Amino acid sequence: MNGANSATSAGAADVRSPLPRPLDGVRVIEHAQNGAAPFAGRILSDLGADVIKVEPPGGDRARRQGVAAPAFSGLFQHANAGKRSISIDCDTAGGRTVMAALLERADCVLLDETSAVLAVDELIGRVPGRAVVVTITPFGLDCRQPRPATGARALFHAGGEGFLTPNGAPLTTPPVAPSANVAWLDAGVAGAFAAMLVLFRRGHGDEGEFEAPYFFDLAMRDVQLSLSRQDICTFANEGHLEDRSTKHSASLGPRLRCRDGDATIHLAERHWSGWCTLMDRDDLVADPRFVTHEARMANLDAVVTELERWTMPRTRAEVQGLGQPRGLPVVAILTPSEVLADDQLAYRGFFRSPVGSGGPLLTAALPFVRQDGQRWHPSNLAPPVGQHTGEVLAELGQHLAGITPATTAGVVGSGL
Amino acid sequence: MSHRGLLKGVRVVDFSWLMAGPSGTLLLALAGADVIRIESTRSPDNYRKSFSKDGNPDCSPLFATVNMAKRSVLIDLKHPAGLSVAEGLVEKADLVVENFTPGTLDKLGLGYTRISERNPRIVMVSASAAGQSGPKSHFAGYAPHFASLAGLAFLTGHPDGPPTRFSRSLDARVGTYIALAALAGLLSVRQTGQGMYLDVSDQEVVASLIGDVLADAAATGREFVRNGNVEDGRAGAGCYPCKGMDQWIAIEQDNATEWQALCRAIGRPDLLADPSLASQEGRWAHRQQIEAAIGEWSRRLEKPDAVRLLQEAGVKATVVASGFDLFTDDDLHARGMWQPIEHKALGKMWVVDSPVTRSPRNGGGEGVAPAPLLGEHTDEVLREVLSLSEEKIKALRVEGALR
Repeated sequence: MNGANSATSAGAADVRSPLPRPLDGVRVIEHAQNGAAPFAGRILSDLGADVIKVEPPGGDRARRQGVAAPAFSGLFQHANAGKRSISIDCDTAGGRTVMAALLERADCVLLDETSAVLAVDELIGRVPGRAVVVTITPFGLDCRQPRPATGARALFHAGGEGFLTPNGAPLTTPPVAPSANVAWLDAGVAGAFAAMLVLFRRGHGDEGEFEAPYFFDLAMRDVQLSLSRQDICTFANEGHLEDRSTKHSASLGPRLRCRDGDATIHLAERHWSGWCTLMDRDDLVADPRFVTHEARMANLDAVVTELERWTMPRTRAEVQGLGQPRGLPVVAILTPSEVLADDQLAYRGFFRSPVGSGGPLLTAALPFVRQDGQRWHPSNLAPPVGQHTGEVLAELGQHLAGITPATTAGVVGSGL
Repeated sequence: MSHRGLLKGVRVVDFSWLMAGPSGTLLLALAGADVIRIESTRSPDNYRKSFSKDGNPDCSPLFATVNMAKRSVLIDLKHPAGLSVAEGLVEKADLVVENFTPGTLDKLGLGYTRISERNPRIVMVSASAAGQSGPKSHFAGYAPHFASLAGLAFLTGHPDGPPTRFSRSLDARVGTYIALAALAGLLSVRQTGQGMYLDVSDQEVVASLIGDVLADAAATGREFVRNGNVEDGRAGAGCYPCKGMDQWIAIEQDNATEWQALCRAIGRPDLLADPSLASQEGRWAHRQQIEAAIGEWSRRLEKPDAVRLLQEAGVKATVVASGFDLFTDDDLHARGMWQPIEHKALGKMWVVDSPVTRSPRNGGGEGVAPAPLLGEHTDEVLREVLSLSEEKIKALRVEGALR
């Protein structure tokens, strides 16, 4: 496989890929906030779609989330890079006219729970039959709970993974969710997949079957449940309730403390003699506590103690650098700033500073590379609220014949 | 057409195993693709072996919950005649998926360069711990390892506890991106007439899913740490214990209205009247007092009652759901997320449907076909896809190519 990838190294000047992108020519209208449906839009944008993000005059709530908000929001940047933003107030007649005109030209519509303002049933009638409509809401459109928690962490807990996390911990400590918005972004990936299913089918010789738009009612909790399906199903099928005290496989992922942080390993049967040699501890081979794989797993704490005798005076990089060439799977547990500096991600051009960032702003690409070493990146930073309002209205042209300049002034947010 | 038929006519030759690859082809199968798993008795999927009842490869509930609606064909890829059968299938396929250690399929003669010569329109998706290229491409690794390389292990856990060991759910996340990459490839073929190879990195998948934190870290230079369920500056939000062993709820609360509602719900007007707790900053400074008050209240209640009382008072709350809670959730059954199936070896069992192409609410759609027995469809697929005669199939079996 062609591995070299110098053309896309991190920080390289960003030029829209000259190669065709699979969704070139696809028009997406997104009326959504936070991290779920917008991340679906972001993925479609990376793949070539023209994604128009419709924001209320105050902008997506994600703009105000995170440690550096409102000056900068990592969530907003990550979920909205490459899009165009139009700001309209859908509570006004003029705003609804603009929205209807946008929907009439859409190939794909992304909505979430904030789209209630659209009176969806009425406006969805404007969406052409060829299009796909994806709603992504926390518990689905038919949720009967009066006020469910909808943050990414709560959804991680609602969908079953929180109960299992952190794996190996005593049950007296509370479950935890990642310090990140994983559950929202998970739903975004699933939403992009849903949209692409229809965009694929549409060009598959089945045009006639698309008299009405395809409609997906995705729930973020369903997505979480599906990701933990194997652990969740053990109760349904075997009567055994997995919890976070269960260690799925003791050999997989014990933590080793090192001089400058933590590393983790996989200690399959075949690895033990390699560790003993690496540590120059042949005495351990004959130690009855470690003589078989079963014995080592039964005495895992003692195994870790012996390994840490060797790892604790060494850095993670040393441990990884000595272990990996000997076929011992050991990796450093990286902090976010170390991930940003990781040589592997840099080699593969995973992060990129888009045009106009002019600083340490960056976006992560889709997590795959093509055979030519190239990958699909967003071409621009996430837009300021309403940056493209004028441009998009101009494109709509005759569709907006009913909107006079006077009414437009009343309905359009910043950016004109 | 139902959602289940969207990928009808798409044939997938699936060399993947364990969890990540099969999770991806599961999404494709549940959207109607014909997913043909290439398996071998010489080296069966460890999910068939290690998690089965009595060592019977057909009796693994774990395998059965991630391989529904696929077909299984036995081929010995190290046997020359077996290899040509596999090549024949790839020639008739739209998509190949694999998640071996980088280089494995190349060594077998089934790498992208080779197969694209025979089928220029083929899309191939590989997934590996750190990708096929780069200084760490040789790293072997499972979920705990690529979670570590991407920052998620470090970011998850209690502040005074170790980083978190992630497992199968991360493989499933890789699977979703494999399915997405496959569609990107299939759409590209439509556009250009040329096949495509897509190299999915598990490390990048996880980094993509915490890309918001990574962007904040890059912009601010700040080092992010794991902090349990606490979001900086917000007191009175997180996980709280309820009555019974290991019963918990999650609460969100981040403005004055919700704070008032919370105090009402837990019967603590005194907290509401306390001027030192009037502001968000004040509440953050006294968060231990607030956490204790919520915990004292929640411990006396059953989990669903606590959530109901909080929600009715205007507080955003949710149960921390266990496998029991999710299986007994009427709404998830009504949404069709739980599907009963009849597995040929395991009998009646329940599986979780695709969150994307699940049956419409309250049934009426197509159900889910069970996971295949090992090699269940060998003859059927060889007849149907390669038009091989019974005699030819028999001969291949005798020479050991189909095992």
